Amino acid sequence: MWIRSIDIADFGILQRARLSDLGPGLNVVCGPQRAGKTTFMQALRYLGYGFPRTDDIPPAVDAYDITADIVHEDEDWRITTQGHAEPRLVAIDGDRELSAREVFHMDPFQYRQLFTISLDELRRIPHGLDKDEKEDLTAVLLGAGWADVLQIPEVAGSIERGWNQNLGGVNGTAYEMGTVLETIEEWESQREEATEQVEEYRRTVEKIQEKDEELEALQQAIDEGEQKALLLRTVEDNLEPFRRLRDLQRELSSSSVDEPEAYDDDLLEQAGELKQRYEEAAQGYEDAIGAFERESSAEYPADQRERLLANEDILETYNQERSGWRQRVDRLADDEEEVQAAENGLRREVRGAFEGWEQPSDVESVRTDLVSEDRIQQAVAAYERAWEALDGNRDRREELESEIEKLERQADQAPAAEAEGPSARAVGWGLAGVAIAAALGAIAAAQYVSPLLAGAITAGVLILAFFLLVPKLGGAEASGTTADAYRQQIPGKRTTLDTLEDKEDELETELASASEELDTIQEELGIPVDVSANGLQTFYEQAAELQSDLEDVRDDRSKVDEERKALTGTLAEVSETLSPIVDVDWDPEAPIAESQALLDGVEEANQLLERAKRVEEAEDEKESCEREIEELIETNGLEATLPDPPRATDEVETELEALVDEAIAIDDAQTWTSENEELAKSLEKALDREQIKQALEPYREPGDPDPWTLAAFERASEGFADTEAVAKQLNEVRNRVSDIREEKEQRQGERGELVKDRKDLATDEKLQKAQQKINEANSKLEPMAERWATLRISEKILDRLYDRFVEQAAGPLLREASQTFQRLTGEDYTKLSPGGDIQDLETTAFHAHRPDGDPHTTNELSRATREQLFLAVRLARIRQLDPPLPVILDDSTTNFDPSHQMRALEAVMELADTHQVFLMTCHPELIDRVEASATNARYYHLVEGAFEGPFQTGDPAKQVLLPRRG
Amino acid sequence: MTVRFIHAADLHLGSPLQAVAQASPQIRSQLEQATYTALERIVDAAIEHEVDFLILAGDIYDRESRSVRANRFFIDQLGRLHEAGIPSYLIYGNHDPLGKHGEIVDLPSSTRVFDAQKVETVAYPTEQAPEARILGQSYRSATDSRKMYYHYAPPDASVPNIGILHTGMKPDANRYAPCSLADLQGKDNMHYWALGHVHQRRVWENGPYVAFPGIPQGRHANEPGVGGCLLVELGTGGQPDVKFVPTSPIVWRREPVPIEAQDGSPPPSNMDDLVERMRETASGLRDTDAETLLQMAPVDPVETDWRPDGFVLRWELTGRGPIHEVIEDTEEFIAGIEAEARAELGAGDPFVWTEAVRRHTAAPLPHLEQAKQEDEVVQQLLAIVEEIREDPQARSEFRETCQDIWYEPTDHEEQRADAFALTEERLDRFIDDAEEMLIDRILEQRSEHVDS
Repeated sequence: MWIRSIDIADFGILQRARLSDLGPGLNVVCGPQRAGKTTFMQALRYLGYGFPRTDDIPPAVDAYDITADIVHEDEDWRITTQGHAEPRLVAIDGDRELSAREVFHMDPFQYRQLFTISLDELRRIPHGLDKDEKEDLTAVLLGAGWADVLQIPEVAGSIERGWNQNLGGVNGTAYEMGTVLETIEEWESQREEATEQVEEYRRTVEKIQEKDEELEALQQAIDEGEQKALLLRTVEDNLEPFRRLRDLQRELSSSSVDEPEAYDDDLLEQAGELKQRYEEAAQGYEDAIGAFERESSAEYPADQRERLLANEDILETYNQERSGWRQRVDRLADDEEEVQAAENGLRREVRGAFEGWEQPSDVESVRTDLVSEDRIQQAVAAYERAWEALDGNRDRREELESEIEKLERQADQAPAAEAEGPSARAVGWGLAGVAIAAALGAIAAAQYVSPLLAGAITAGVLILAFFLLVPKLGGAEASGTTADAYRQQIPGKRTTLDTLEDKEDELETELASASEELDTIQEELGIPVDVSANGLQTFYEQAAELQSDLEDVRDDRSKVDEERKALTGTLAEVSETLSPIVDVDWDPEAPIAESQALLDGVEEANQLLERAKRVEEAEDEKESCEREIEELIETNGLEATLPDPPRATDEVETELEALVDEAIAIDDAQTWTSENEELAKSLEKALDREQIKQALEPYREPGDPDPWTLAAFERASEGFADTEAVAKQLNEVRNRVSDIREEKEQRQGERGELVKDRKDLATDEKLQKAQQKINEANSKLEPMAERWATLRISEKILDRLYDRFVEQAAGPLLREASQTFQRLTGEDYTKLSPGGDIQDLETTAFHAHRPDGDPHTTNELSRATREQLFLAVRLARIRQLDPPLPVILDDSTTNFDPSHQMRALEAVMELADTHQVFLMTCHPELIDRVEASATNARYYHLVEGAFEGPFQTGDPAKQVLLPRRG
Repeated sequence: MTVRFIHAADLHLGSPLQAVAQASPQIRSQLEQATYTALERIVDAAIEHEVDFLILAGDIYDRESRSVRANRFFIDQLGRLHEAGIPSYLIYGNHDPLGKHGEIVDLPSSTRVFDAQKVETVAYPTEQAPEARILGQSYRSATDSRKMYYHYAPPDASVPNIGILHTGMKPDANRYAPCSLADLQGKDNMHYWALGHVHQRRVWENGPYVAFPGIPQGRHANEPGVGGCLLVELGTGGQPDVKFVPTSPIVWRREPVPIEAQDGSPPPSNMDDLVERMRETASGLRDTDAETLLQMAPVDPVETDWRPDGFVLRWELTGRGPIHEVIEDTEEFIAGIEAEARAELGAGDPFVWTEAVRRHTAAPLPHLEQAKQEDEVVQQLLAIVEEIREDPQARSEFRETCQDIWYEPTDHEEQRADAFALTEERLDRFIDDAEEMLIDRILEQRSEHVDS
């Protein structure tokens, strides 16, 4: 399409301005500043689109009104734009009308930005564009379909916003996803730790095992230490004995005694004792002899000693009898004195007993041997009984007679009738009973005591009974009994009286018989005078007693005499024995009186005997010792010998000294042997403990004797100077063991902690929790990640879509632009290609390639090159659009350097081959350059809103630009 | 001569199921206990079926979940077998390579651990009177690159020869005992390859039987289905009789929740509508009998009274529907529906626990087809998406751009907590989602431009 003519009736300063005969190629409109070039450009800009209601365009005086004749597809059309109405396009040769958009097939912005710009804008982004306008500009510059391309980033932007603002209704954001990821990371770390728990458990178990091993090692060290300590303590306890043992063994090995065990164990003791005994015995012997001799008055004490010892038994017997003898002597004297006194006493008794008797023997005239005392006693008793019975009977008779009389009197005096009370009968019976009892008692007494006593008893009883019972009878009297009652009692009493009288007769006969017996006895006894019955018995008893006393005196006298004789004999015998031994001053003529001297002699002899015996004992002891010494020597095979007896004491003592010395050596050897054995046993016993044997085991060697412990002990104790050294080392070992124990306790504590840890680690709670948290976060993350992935893939798809559209839209364009750009830059650059961000025109939209292929982004280019780039792109884009629309260029602000301006003009002129180009300029030199290059350009000038032209050359048009002269 | 044994692998003991978070105490306990329960059931099965021995083909423990408790539990279970007179043969895999982590408690004497230095051959029950040979080798490191299979060389085929190997069965890999199926099937005298490492149950019947028993208990949404072990009756001739023994108390599932209109029902318009759709699915699951669940296995199941203790579901909201805008615009919508699902669907026997609800929804685009026909940008977008789906470079580029949080897994066991495995399937899913989103946005942008 191109404009043949244009009438601008009302548009800014252009009022009724007409521009006609425009060419289809380059039309240069010259005009000074403010001549209306820009207004004209704006008028053309809205020609096909209508005027917008905006303040950015020049106002109309009345209403916008532009009419243009155009050629469209080789047909003439008229386009009318009035006010703000849509332009009308009407065919000039017919009644046809088109929509202006059918001719101006691009949007106003594109047309404005692409076809109606300043020359300056050709080379750069127009100033004052907002972001959308810049994007639109990109579309404008890069061609058809670019709107779709531009939608793609918008879609991408909406996706990005959607991503950041809302994710699938979860209100998730990129930030939230990051947070979730952080959560996952955190819990993964926790899970890692939790899974490490197994290893931790294993490590803990291993640590426990290590601890166990450590504890075992420590225990072993403790055991070893304790064993060592035990060993050292054993060494400490036994070192001295052991060394003593070894010393003993050395002593024994160097001893002269070969077999000490062959000797008596107590040889030395025996020898010592014997020596001591012998010495004591020798000394005792000497002392005994000395003592004897000092006490002996004999001329030859030794002889006397022999005699003494020869009579030892008899002398000792004498000595034993001595006190007895002394007592016998004394007793004899006493007895003699007593016998004499008895004889005298008896004589006096005899004399006192019976007149006529002088001598004790007179009593022997009474023949007590013919009459027994019992007979006398019976006779006397019978006599007394008879007497007493008779006497009693007589009393009763008399009493009864008295009673009868009394009764008779009382009967006479008493009333006639009076019953007899039972009490009288009772009394009577009581008296009878008493009488019987008295009789029985008398019989018994006579039988067992004496007749006199029997009589006395009977009488006593009867009297007592009488006095007890008779008052009862009296009582009866007093009771006022009648005369009959009294008389009734009398016959009974008379009967009793008769009985008593009979009895009296019998008793008198009996008494006479008893008296006769008494007389017979007196006669048989030979008693010269009469005596009473009682006197007879007394006489008999006295005579019998005196006879007995006489006999006793006679016996005593006989005994005294016999004793004197015997004692005298004994003393004589003693005297005879003592005389050869000691001097005795004893008179056999007065043996008893001189007996003391004899007894003293016995004592003296015995004292000497004791001395002699001491001497003998000492001698025996001495000899016994010698025998024992000999026996000891013989028994033990000793080297010492005793001289043959008799032996001098000093010789024996000398030998004894040798013997003792020998015994000492033997004893030493025995002691050593014994001590050796004891020590050995003691040590063996001390070492025979299992623990000690274990401690000694390391020191054991093959071939050690059994038990091996001593040999091992010797090795173990080597190197220790003394027990202190052992104790020191023992202390060190104990300290070490103590340290190890402390360490062990510490390890045990650590083990306890580990065991606790192991228990804690055996659970999977942490793991489950971590896994749960991860799953939770993972579950939250997954939809976001899906959304995110969808978005990222969407972006990628969009990128591809974008690239494809860019390629489709901008590919041919940039190929076209590359040629122009190459020419414009004098082939400094050979190619243009899409840059990183096609929308960022000022910086990265394009890559300009040098011949070596090195690309440069827009912002890396020099200003001039960048301008050339944009010019090339615009021109290419303009060419690309079909059908071609008029291009209106304003060079008012152009800033090309001359060479570049020339090349730009050349490009514009080339464009004019295909497009109608309006070049608005205020630069005369530009016109010159156009003229220099263009052959078919038409020139106009515009002054104060009015066009003139066309001119075939530039000069006429240029004139308005030249400074006015004058 | 035949032997009967249980072949299990990849116990990953102590690895809690990823749905543990927010679970009720009872369900949490079941989820935490699930891998232990699975092992217990393996041992129960061994005792019940009076097997000759048990084979464990590695990864007894999870590298990230090692615990003393797991160690002890494992030993206790082997102890049960020991008491029942059943020996165990086991190798350690990449998660528990021998030498790095030994058992903290001594194994029963009837348990034979194969060495990591070389392939060992053990005769069952005795060397003097063998009824089978078991060959095995443990890993010595987490990424054992030795071609172990090469050294599995039974001397003859007189007795059943069983090779225990923990392998990814990728011949070109530089770890996990690289080998190919053909490598294994080509080994002379071998009758059964007891493999571990791959968590899906797979078997190959041509030549010596090659089997991955799969994981006894899935631990996350990427290990769905019923886990278990294999009960094998093996002789020297013909194919072994292999049965699947389900052991997993918990069954993972991904369940789609379309947001479009379906079967005459209008599209869900609010959260309750969605939960209702989820409820219907959950109800259907509870009513699904064990036989149906076990039909998914490539091996026929043994006669069993197994039934799941619970399902753990990952719900995936899919499709285009009006509720998308609600989902998109409502803060915490997904969290809300998760909470709702857990509260509404959890109880029951078996329980149905919601692990997560994921959104793959888009707004309804009534003019989508027209746009695809007319809009150059949309056309270009679709063209580009189609190109890049098959373009390794582009896919690689996508992986690269996502690598901060999405890594390319070279093995299914590569699991990171702070990043996710970008499988091909998942990448396709992302590309689909991106495509939908871009179309939405472009068309939105278009309408905005038109409106302006």
